[in-house]
Amino acid sequence: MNRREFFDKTMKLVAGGLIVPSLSRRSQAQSWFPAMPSGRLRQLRDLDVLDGKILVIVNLSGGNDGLNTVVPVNDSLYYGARDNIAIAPQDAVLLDADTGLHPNLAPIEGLYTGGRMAIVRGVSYPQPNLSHFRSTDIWFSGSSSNEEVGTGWLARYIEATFPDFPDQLPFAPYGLQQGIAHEIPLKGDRGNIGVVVDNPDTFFQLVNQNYTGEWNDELPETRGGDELGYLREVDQATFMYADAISQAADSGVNSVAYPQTTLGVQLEIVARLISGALDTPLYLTAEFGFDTHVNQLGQHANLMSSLGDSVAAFFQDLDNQGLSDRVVLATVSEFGRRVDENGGFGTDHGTAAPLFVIGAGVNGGLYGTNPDLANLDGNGNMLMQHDYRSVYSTLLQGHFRASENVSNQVLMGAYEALDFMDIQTGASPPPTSNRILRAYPNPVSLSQSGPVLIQFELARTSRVEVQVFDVRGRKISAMGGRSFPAGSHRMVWEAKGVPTGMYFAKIKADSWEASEKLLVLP
Amino acid sequence: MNSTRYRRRMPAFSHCMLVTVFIFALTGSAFAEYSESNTSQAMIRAAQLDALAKMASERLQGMDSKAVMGGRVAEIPELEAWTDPWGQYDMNVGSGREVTSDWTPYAGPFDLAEASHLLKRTVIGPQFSEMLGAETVGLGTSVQNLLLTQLAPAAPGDWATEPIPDVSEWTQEMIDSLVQEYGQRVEKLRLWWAEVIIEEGGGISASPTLRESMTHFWHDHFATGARDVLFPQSMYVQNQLLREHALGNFKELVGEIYKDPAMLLWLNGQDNYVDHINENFARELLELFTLGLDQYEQDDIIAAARSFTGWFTLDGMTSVYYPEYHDGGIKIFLNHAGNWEGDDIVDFIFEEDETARFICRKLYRWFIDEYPDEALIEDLAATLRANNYEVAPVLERMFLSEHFFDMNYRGSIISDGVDKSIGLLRSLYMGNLNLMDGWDDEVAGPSAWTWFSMNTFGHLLLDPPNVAGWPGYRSWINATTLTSRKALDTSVIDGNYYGYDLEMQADAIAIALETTDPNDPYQLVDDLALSFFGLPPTEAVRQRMLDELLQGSEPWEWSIYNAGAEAQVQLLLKLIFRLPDFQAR
Repeated sequence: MNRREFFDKTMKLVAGGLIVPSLSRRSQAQSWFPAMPSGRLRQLRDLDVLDGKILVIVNLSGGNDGLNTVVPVNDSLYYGARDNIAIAPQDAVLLDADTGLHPNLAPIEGLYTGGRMAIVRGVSYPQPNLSHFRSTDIWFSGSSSNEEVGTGWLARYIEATFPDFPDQLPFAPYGLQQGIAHEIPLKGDRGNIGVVVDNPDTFFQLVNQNYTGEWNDELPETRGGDELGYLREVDQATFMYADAISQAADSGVNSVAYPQTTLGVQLEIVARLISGALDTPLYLTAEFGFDTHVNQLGQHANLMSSLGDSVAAFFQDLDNQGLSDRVVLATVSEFGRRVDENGGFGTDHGTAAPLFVIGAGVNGGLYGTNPDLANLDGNGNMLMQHDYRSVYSTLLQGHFRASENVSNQVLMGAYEALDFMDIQTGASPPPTSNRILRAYPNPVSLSQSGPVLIQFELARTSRVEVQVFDVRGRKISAMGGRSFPAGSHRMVWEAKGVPTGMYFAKIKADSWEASEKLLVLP
Repeated sequence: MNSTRYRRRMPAFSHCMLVTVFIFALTGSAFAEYSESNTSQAMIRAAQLDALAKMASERLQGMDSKAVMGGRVAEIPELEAWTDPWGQYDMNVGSGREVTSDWTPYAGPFDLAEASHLLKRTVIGPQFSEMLGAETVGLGTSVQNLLLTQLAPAAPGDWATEPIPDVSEWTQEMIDSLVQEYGQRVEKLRLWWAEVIIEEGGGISASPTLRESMTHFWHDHFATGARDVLFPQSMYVQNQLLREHALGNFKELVGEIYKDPAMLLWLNGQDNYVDHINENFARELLELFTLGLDQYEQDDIIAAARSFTGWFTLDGMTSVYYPEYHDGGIKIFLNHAGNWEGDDIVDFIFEEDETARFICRKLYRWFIDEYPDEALIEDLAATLRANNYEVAPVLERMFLSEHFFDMNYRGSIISDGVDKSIGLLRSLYMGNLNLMDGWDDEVAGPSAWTWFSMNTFGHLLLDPPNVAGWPGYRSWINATTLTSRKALDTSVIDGNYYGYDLEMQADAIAIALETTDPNDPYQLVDDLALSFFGLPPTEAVRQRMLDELLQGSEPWEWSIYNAGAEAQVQLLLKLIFRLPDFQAR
């Protein structure tokens, strides 16, 4: 047996890239797994936290060349600095008279013209650090270049939002990270808020097969007991999350083909998990190889293709499934690159660069100006227009509706929100009456969409029961029977696996009740 | 900015610069970098080695999560490559548990439990038979045996000391192929070390020593990454240096390490000469290797860096001193003024009380617990100073103490990746695996398993995440590493990993026969638990182990000579490897 095959396969099993259909749990290892959760109901996070939103971070690792990504097509200084590697005006995808996208970003032009994509230019931080490692840490931790913070900004946000964490672990992890296992993003002050899983199918196989069950018997009150307690905790959380992730991967679908690049494969999985109603608000993905010191043109063009094609497919997929109203995707990169090309047809480490924010609630457009190439820092690098933490603050307040206080606390300082999202912080006013907001998708096509999301509002705290009946009045599943607070709630119904036909979802809250017809198609 | 706390070896900015220097070197042009000073042949050679190493690492970095294996690229999860290296230096975090013992000589019973605790903390992958042996000879002799000096292991091959060619006239293809060859040799060097670890103590029967655990300790301490050093020769020389001083004198080792070729390449000593000061090594020496943070000022770093100037490696295996490249000016280091050399700086560092405390904390963490008690450290540091920085007396005092055998600390160390990879093989009596030479075969055999498990567990020897070493402790365990530890470790019992024949398989019956009474199922369970767990199993875990062994049969029906016994012991071993208890020692 060949070592390379062994590595390839074992890496795929453990943390590898591709989902291999023949390895999927349905076709092969049926006996290892619990029965399909067909017809099952489960509850998602209440909407008053994180506003039910999902944030997908795409890390362009290595330092993306901002000038060749968002091109200043009328700037002679740009063309003067880059004799060999500039993007010609006629090649760029023009956004306005002075600005064009890299030609291979053409697939996401529609997101821009559709008003769903913001391009924030000149993003960096004071006293930028040109080390990949240090600067990546800074971006992931949301800190200044003169301090070292070992926790991630999103992890701190989760901890600020869920004071019970980690005493109360959620059904699904708060964060799911793919690609490189950088420790900081998911690491909070009180523990890891998520897991690194590249392949939901095989991850579950491995976890489930090697799990020895939950151990709750008492441990000695010693240092050894402390550590064994910790090990048991990680063991159990891993099992629980693997189960949740795997169920969502099973229920979810992709409605479009993705490029099979590093990023494309990751976003395909993210979309499938969102489609499968995984209750995870944070996804971290990455594309690698942006450190284009030599022969940049071809390498960068490939990376731009991967970015453009993958992101376009991702939003098309979410749009097709009616899921895009909750999702924002933002790109980050540890730095941009030097204005002047170097002697090797590449560019060296730089500073400020543009980033993309795409999705629900984003006010599309160009923010900031094209960089002033006549006014550079001592190393020949571009000056900052926007602190990257202003982008984070906008995402926290605009997307997750975090309060300004929470945003300041998480980012360890006040960073003014930018205009690319509207800021509507604070909880929504409580509903004035009980109602079913929607059941979506409906009709549900078993081959084209994931589970049905049932969203309802309660005017006051009530004892709630949610039930699903088939057309003959037989109860398929039920959930609840306990008290729900006033506000908006979401349940998902796993339609996959049930016979096609008509169903009814009935919601009872104290004496109130309402029902919704659900049509399940092949 | 406070870059002093950032420990990656160099800003990538100067990376680029050195690649440019390298291109100059190839074309035979003048060195932009070295032109101010005398461009002697020696300096050209020094720069060439440096540039070669950096060119190779630059290329590796460009591939980010990829690594080159056999000239092919495979995706490798860099599981722990990004962990926070600073947490471990926070002295203010206590465990919240009271310390009730000290270095008073231990006078309690030295039963199998104590013998196994001693070996699990001092040997990578101790075998049950060794635990029995230690119990038999008693604590004093066991510790003496651990401290014995052994002959150095045979070199991995002639290539480990092969001269590094002058590449100035070489084509890019030739250089690429050399870099690739060196990459393969570094892989073999890791596996050679794995073999040395497995053979610690001369194999299955003899008594193991502390040598490999301490070599590993120093590697973790003076953490040097082959990915940036490139030359297997340099890594081998450093590894031997660490082994030679494993149980020796800390001060002497520091006196060697500042001119160690791999270290010169890793922390830019090669790029540090008069009027061209690179403070990288000096900073890490003070911050990570000897004094710890906040014990010195930025000016001390510069003064130390200036004092270390003049040392270069021209062959990657030895170092040379060029007085004309030494900064002969007056330097003020920790309030001592003079025209200092590297050795003077080492002397001054070892005049500081903090140096002994610093290394004793690390030794404490390596052998006892994550949370050192400062009073205990002070006491240990006094022993180290009193013995002129000889390490062995400190270790001896530790291992003979009440504190070491305190029940509070049994099972309090989370096993590192090497423990669960190489150590597992050793503890299962798996020798003669031909790990190094097997690498050439490119098959999914023992070499591939060993390499892959180390890497997957985030503990690839010779490639620490950065100069701070592996962050260790709880960072070893996350969803991915825990799961892959279970999967890979159990595969050794099956001899098969998801359809891949590992060409090695633990002998379950032989393992059982080494225990005290393999025909008593209770005793077998207890002995194996003692062998592989840090803490005795709880009653529920013990019962589960017994059930797994008996598979529904009655305890009195059990015999190691039953037809199905092998399969049953295999099931028990696999359960053991899957239990959380297995991850601590």
